[in-house]
Amino acid sequence: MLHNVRKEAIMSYEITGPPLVSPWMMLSMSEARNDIDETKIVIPGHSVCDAPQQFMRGHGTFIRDGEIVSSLSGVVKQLNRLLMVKTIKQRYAGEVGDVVVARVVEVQAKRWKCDVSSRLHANLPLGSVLLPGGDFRRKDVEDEEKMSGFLKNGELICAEVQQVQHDGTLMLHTRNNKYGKLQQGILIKVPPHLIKKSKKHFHTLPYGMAVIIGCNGNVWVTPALPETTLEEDGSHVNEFQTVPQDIRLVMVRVAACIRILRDYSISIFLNSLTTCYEMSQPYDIKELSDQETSSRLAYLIAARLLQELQQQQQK
Amino acid sequence: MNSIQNIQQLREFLTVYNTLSERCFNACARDYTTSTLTKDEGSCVSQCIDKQMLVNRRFMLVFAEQAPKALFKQGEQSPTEAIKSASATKSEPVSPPESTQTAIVEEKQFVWETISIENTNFQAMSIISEHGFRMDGRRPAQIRNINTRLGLNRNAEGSCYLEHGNTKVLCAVYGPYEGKASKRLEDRCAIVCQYSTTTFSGLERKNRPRGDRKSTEISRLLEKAFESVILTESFPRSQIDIFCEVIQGDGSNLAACVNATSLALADAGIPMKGIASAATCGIVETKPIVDLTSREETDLLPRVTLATICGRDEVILVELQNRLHIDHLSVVMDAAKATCADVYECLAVVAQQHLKACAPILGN
Repeated sequence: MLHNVRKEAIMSYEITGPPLVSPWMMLSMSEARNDIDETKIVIPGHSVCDAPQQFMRGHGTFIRDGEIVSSLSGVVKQLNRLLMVKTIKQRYAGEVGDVVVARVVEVQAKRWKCDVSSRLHANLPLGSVLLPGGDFRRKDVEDEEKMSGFLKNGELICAEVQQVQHDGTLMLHTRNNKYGKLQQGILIKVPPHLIKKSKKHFHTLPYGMAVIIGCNGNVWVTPALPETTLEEDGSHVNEFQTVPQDIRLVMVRVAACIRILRDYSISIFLNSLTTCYEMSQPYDIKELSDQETSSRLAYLIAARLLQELQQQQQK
Repeated sequence: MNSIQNIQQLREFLTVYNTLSERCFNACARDYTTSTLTKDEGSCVSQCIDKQMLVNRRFMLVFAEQAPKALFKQGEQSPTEAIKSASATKSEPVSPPESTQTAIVEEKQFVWETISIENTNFQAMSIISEHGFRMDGRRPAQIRNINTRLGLNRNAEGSCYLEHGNTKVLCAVYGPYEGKASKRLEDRCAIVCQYSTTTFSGLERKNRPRGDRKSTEISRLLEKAFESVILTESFPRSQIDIFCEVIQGDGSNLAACVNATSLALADAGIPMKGIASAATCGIVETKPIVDLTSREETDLLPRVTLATICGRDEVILVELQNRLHIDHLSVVMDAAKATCADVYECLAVVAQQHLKACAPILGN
């Protein structure tokens, strides 16, 4: 890791630990960042406001000696008289309507338990999946017996959060053609705070493949979106198809791009992904995992994205 | 106690005897052709031994004279004077005022004991030099350099590398996640902590990096401490794993682990009452010294590890090692509390700076 630290920095310091600034921090600490108000950043135990009588305490705060104090490390948000703290980095906390990419960890009676890298496993009830024979078919004992035939342990699915229960458990559903089992593709895990919420999380890219950006930080790079894997009678297609090599290369490049965005904590959404892909074209795919190339590329991508953002704001 | 003393006396006697015989052998034995000593050699040996014995006796006398002066600082009374003055004024209720003779006998015994026992007091003296500095050049109330890096382990939710001088600790926090069913609690989250030391962390190479009594005890202490810091009620039926690894142990290991863990928890975005900070303090002759190194910890020095939240009066962990006089308790605790507040200032700055760097570019 040391070769990435500037030479001058090494000369004057005695380095006893890892580099002072990790490469991924270097980018987000650069002077280009002025979107964060430093005075609003709080850590647990910091006072959120001076005049507690005029405000109500919201999420992520508590009252100590009559003043509102943060219990989280994050940014203070104010909504009229409500003060709350939003974390910058946290495990995935589901919201209704989120698209998630989950892994089945347990088959139980009438439901599957799925790992969505949230703090509890999510439930996918048998009644909330699309089974052969249409939407309104009653799920009977026979279906229960065939549950592990539909989804086995360790299989990946794409689902939507239908409900968040009071203890934080997520209820999922796949009652739509675009959700369901994921079969061929590359899974990349990123910290969930890097996923930018948007209207669409399924993207068919113009390079002959598709990505599903799960809100829980799982990004699925696939030759085609899952709706095409459902045949007309509604049953899953189980045979694997051979993917042409050029598509495979594109998929690997997209995966490498996502890893660059992750490593340099640039948020992941359609625009950043396509920008990264296009700017990575001059390099070989294997060069993208090289630290020197990736840091240079990440810097350029961040600059381009911030510039685009400024232009949009000026309009 | 008596047997220990005897063994030690015997050991000392043997070393003196061995060095003596070796020296005289080297000095006198010339002819290796016969098994007996020649006339010249015999007289040489006896002279040599006489001379050495005289030197030794002289040394002992001088030592007995000088030791009490060195042991007690100039301002304070030496034990001889203390007992004399006590018996003279008769104000001291503990010392028997019957006769000065018993006092003198006691005093003699005391002097010989201090000389023959493993001179612990001598070591204790050298922790603070006469100019008021410690072995590594610090003042008694000065902490070591704190050096941290956050977010190094990208697989963990939160991670921290922390140095207190030469004590180096790596901490990783995983969770909250749905852990083992056996550990699950319905109303709050379970905290599982593992403390381990690398085999090369201490003075001696260890065979077991974890699982021995001492590591298990520290793990439990950390668990209990952080159960009262983390707002565990907000994560029912979940589990948080904390892994602390001491890479290099140079004293105050537990305190360093507490500090590293609270930074890692802040990095993980886990709700807490505040950032916990800890410090280890000892006491040398009524004077508190803070943030002990391993050289200072090897003495029979009483030491207290204290952890507080936000440097305030909220104590989450106290650990006492060795015996401490009750009068010194408040002194040590005050020093420890003040040190915790100092350490907290350092940790707060680090956590806040890191948070800014963590924010995703073009985030929500």
